[in-house]
Amino acid sequence: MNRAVIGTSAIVIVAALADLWVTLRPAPDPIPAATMAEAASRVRSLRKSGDRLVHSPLFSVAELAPLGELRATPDKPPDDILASRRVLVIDRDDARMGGLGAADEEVEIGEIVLRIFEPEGSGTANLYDLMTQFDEKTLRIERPRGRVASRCTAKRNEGGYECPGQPEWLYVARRTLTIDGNPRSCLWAHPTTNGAVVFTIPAQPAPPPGRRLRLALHAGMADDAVRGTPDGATVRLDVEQGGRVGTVDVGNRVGWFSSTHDVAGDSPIDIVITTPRDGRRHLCIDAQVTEVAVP
Amino acid sequence: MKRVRWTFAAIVAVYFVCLAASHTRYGLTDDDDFYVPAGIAYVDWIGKLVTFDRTAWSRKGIDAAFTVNHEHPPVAKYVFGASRYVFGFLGPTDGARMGTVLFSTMIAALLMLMAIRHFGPSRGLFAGGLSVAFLLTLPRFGFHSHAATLDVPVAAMYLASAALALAAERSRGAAIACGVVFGLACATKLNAPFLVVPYLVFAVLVRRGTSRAAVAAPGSGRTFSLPPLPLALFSMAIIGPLVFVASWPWLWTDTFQRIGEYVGFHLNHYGIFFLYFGRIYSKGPFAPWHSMFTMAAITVPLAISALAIAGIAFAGRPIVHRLRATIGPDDDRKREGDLLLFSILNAIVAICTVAFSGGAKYGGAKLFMPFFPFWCLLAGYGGLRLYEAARGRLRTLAIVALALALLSSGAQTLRFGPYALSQYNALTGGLRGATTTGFERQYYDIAFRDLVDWLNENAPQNARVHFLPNNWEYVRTYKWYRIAGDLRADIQVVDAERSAQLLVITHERRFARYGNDLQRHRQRPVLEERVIDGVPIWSVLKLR
Repeated sequence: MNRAVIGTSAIVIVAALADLWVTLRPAPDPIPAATMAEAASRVRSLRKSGDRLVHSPLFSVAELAPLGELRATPDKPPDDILASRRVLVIDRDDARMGGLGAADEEVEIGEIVLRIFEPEGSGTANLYDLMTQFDEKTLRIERPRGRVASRCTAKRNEGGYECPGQPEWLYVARRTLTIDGNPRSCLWAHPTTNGAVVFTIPAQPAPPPGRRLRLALHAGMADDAVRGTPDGATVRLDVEQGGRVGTVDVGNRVGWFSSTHDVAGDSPIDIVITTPRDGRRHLCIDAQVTEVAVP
Repeated sequence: MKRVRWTFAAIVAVYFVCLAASHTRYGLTDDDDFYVPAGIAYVDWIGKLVTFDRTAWSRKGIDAAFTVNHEHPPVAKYVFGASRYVFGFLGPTDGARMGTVLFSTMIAALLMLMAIRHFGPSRGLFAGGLSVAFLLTLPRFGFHSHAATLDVPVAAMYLASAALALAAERSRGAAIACGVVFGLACATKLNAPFLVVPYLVFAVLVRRGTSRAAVAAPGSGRTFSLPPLPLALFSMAIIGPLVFVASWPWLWTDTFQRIGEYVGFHLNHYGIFFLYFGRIYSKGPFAPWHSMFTMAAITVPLAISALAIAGIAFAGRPIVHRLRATIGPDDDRKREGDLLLFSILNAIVAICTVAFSGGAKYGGAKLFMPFFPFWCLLAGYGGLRLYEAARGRLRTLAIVALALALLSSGAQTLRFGPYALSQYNALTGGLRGATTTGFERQYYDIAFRDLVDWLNENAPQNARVHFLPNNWEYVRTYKWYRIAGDLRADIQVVDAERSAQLLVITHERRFARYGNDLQRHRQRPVLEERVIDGVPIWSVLKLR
């Protein structure tokens, strides 16, 4: 029994002291602006097209200021990005970002360490998923086309965002509709007569040499909307990026239709949805931007 | 016995006073704005009822009161609504939130009662007192004990039902009462019905071999015996649903349709962002099952978990004794084994329910609050047995270990205080390590009081403030601060970022846009920044 008492007490004491240490330790010193500026300058000299820039989530806004226009965020790149792109991490040497593995190269700059991860493969990288990444900037209503009548920024009680001043059936939210006989999760994208419903996918970083960006666009109407509206109008989806990149027409028929379009980096993508008659056009869409190797 | 009563009362009173004294330091969460107005509407309806206002009984009257937040059952909200009147001097939201403090205090009382009943007066006071002290110093449980949400209330009602189910082993009255309280627990939040699972397992285990009737298995000629089902189970199955429906007037019309809608809402719960090991989860898929166990492991102070694990190890013998002694007279060891077995089963089920339900997982440790009282009880028992096993000089060692356990969890509670949802234990390297590993530095869109104070003192006249990355939640919570007079009347939280003078970045990485927001604004002048353990929590920037 003595052993149990000593062992248990020792474990409890060590656990308590470990917690006390992380609770009461002093905060680390802020990174001097000059050090951060030097790190930024080093990144500018090292970066190549397509590199993903990351910075430590511990940096305060004041510490980040010297990074200037560098497109670095504290988001840990997903595995497919780590596999396909070079990643440069501006990190605190005393508290490094986890989950990235061992860097291929490290450059020490005072309290900063610049960690460089080379890509390991050339697989497909998922850059953007409309279903999971849409936000209050995603949807706007143009009426007529080209003139913004409403930005759909108002939080909807049932989830998603509604469009102030517009009919309540114009909104962006995840829905599950029966399409082609199967329940399908997608984004509600009801078109409107005499106007356009415009989804915007934010600009994605330009791909490195030998890679390109591709938009996969999926759309379909709810089965009951198709079957219950024999004279239902066709819905048109235009993919635009500066100019028109591609068009998909979803006729009044049951099904889930997919298409792919090559798109450019560093520029937002608009999916413009129009129809001559919006009666029971219960359209649902989904879209992803991926980066693939040029064949 | 008098000494036991006074000590019991003193411990529970200290628990209540500690929570009440720190109550107004805790900021509003994004849930308070749902539950406080609902509580007020429900209690106003009860007011009509007791003043014999006939409109209260009409469908129109009921729906008018109970449509608000009808996706969640009402019991906790009744308490919020009543507390809002009783503690109205604290302000509209802080008064209502005192209801959660009361629920939390109820947990402390129940832990003490259960420990005294099952471990005996002296041992029970020791183990129960330790359990309550651990509960009081659990930083995240402490935070949730101040929010007008359903999580601590359901933990309290779940524990009350469990305590009665256990008492029902020896009392017919407790068995009947168990059904009533279980019904009220189910009318608090959806965690409660899952109590049936550990209770069934417990009932079968402690009744093995006690059946008087054998049943022949068809075809094989072999016989097996079913243990007699406990009265409390019938009570939970019959009285429970009746109380559930009776306590929720929303279900009095279109009963089955509305119950269906209620269950359907939770089966198809919309996704809520959750950052886990650097990846943002929402819906499709929800976070993995292990996320809930990980959150428990990295947020409960390590020494408390070490003692709880020791408590489970020490519980082995009493449980084995209990399982062997399914027949025969009741004794102290049997009672001890009962509570330990039931606590372990409930701790497992309370967290597994969330981990394996296939439902939404988010909000750190919020969803499995019913787990913590059982975990603290096991930790208290671990402390008791450690103390009892230590003789001579080793007793000093055991006392030092227990004191350090309390000191470390107490230090975490004091250090983080209203920032308790930023607390992590040493497994992740504290908050700093957790942030670099990819966990939330905060969640629940807390409208921190010190930020409100800063704005009151420093914001220009008629200041327009915008929050990033999730302004809409602060529009809701700051409204309450203005109503309560906690926020200067001229300060507005505005929807449009471009019209704001001050920008508050709350550094919540679970919002995919946060990185871009931070990048867009990183060169703005920083007026104030709250940094804890080297981790920025909120930053006020000057836009114009």
